[in-house]
Amino acid sequence: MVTDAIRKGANMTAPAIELRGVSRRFRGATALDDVQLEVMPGIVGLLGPNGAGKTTLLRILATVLGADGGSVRILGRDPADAVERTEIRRRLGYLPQELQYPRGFTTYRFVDYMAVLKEIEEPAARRAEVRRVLEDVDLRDRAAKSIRTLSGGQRRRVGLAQALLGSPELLVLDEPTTGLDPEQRVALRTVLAERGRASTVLIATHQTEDVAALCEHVVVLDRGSVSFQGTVAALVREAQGRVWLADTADPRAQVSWRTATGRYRNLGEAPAEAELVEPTLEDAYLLLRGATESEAVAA
Amino acid sequence: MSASVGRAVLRAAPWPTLLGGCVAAAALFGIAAALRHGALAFPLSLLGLGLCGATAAYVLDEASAEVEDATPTGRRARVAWRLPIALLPFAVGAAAVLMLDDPGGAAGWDRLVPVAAASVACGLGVASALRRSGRLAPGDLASAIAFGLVFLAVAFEPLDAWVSLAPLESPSYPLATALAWALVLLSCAAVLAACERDPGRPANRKETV
Amino acid sequence: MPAARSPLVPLAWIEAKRFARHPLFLTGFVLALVFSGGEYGPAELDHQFVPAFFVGLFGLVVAARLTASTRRSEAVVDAAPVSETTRTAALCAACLVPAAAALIVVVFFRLVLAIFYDPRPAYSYGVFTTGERYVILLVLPVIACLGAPLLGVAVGRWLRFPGAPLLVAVALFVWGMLAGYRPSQMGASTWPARILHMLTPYTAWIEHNGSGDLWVPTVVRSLTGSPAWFAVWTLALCALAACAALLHGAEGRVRRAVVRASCVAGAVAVTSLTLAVVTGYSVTHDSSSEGTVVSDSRTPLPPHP
Repeated sequence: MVTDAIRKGANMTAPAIELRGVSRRFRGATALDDVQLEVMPGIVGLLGPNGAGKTTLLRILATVLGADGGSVRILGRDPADAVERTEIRRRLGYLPQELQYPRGFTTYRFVDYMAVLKEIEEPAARRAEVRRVLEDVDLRDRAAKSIRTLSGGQRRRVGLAQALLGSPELLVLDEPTTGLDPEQRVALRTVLAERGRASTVLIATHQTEDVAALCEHVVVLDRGSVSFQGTVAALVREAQGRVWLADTADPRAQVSWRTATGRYRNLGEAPAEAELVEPTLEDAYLLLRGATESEAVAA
Repeated sequence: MSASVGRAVLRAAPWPTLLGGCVAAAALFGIAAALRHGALAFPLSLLGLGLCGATAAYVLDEASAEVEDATPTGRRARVAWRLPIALLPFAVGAAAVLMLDDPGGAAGWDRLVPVAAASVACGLGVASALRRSGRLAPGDLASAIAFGLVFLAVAFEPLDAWVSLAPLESPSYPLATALAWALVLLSCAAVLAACERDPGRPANRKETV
Repeated sequence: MPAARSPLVPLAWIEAKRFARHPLFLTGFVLALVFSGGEYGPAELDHQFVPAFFVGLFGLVVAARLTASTRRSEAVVDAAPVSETTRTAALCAACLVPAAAALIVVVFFRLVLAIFYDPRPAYSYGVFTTGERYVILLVLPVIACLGAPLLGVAVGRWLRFPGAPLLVAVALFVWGMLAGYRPSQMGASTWPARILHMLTPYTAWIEHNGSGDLWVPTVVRSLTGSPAWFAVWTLALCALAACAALLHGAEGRVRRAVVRASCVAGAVAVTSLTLAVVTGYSVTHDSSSEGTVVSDSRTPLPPHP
């Protein structure tokens, strides 16, 4: 019933997330500072170094943390309003970076418990929904196992399963692929790609290959502010003509590392006798980070 | 809030720990009952009452609260379903001191019933405050703190110049005793109400509703 | 290649600092000082309870929490070259912190008495000799504050259910209370009562008719047993607690060594317990300003005039 409402309520033309001047501080430390962000439905990657404020931003979007200042609108609703916040939560799936599980729960029982909290109350529908999400994350055969006995990757997938309950309009996932093997990552990408057609999926990750494989849009967060927002292609384009393969590491390069072929990948100015190569999303991200660092040092 | 949500929330409570705590408290009261005419019955009962409070501190444990908070079943609703569980350790403590009570005897064990209530409230209050500070399952620490607070308060009577907190004999200051425990209960209720607010509320602004 | 230094000392140092900074330990330590520096209670030999409760029992919970705190990173910690036995040994060594704290408390108490209070009348120490008084006042509290945290380390290693440290602390307290005071109510000079009175990590040595604001009791009843052998018995219990903690995760040669040490500690415990029962006072004595007489422990002490 709720799932139907969520599906019917999805609006693929309006922004799913709108943040205007959002800030959040923790005991004097600024986690988010004047964040402006507009996210349209689809799959969006959130990149940024450790401590950039990704998790804080995701917690605000998951409505489990209030912003100190600015305006937040999620799925056209204001989470500052108690009623609208509950409405958002009916349309939301959230996977935090670190998810603890209650003692003594089996996989099925935990996901079923979360389904009840998500107001999927009709028992038959709930059972079907729980089985479906466990199937999606390939945990059907582990349903009766105690979560304590599962491997790290399997526990992560239990977290993903609960986030997928009710086919949410907005999926907020904090490092969802952590601990997953390559096959599981590919399987998860398929599930998320499917979800991205009908809803908004925001994925915070350090895995640029996941973002490159999945996302059309990318947001880069640095020191609590948005340093880039646009398509993945646009970010990669910014690195065009700035990625070189050379036999030595160039000291002028913003970033330089030795590749498996023994040659050095230099990002930035052209070194002597270097070969220009096509940039990847990782190259573009590193160049953007380098530029932001330089600006910060200059400032 | 539907009954199925209530059932699910109740099922998710840490029942083995809660029942274990109640059994341990009951065992202490049992020893106290066996020695009811000796000097040890009273301190053993105080330990039992402290253990009731320590047990209540586990009632609010929710290891996966981070994702539970992001569901339409808000934190307050879940806490509202969980709170009646605290009646269990309270019932153990209250029933035990009432059973120890001898209507013809000099000791008024029934006067310890408010201590049982305050002990349980203290456990909930401490757990709630720790949850607010980011511990999702604060039972272990909260139980130690609540037990220490309750036991020290009733065993050492730090305010005995003004109020008798565990008035086994006829209380010297009956009104002050009643007021003291009422204050503890109200304080814990206030802490609970303040700390179990929805964490998604705006930090520096009032709710618009 | 130079021989690698044992990581035990730096690890023990780290654990000791964690112990010393733990809020629960600091709370207990401060409370013990407060209770030792304020109003002087009715009988000095009862004071050993203060450090044993505030530093020892609080220390048990702290030690268990510190031991359990590394569980979340077990996967990483277990992969380190330092064995679990070494890590446990470091935690056991850190239990010297509460023992030192107990020593500070008892010395502080002696100083407060020396500076602010008149000497107690001799009968308030019952039949105990000067040496026995020092064992009761200075040695036993320190051993109690070493043993309880050592038991806490064992609890942290072996018991993984929530609330285990608190339950063990309460059980220990009840054990001490029942064994300390119950025998005198059932006839302290009988063999079962004398054994029960020593068969505990903490016991009472006197009863008296003083209370709250009555500083000096008029009658002090000395209970049975030998304080010196009781100290050896409790030290053996400390060793057994440490062995129980070290046994967790121990393998091969180390395990065999720990088991052997446990056997030795067990033998010392049994011997010292027997000697504490057999060589100590076998009957209770009532002391007052009029002298000391053998008493029947079942007779209630006369009320304070």
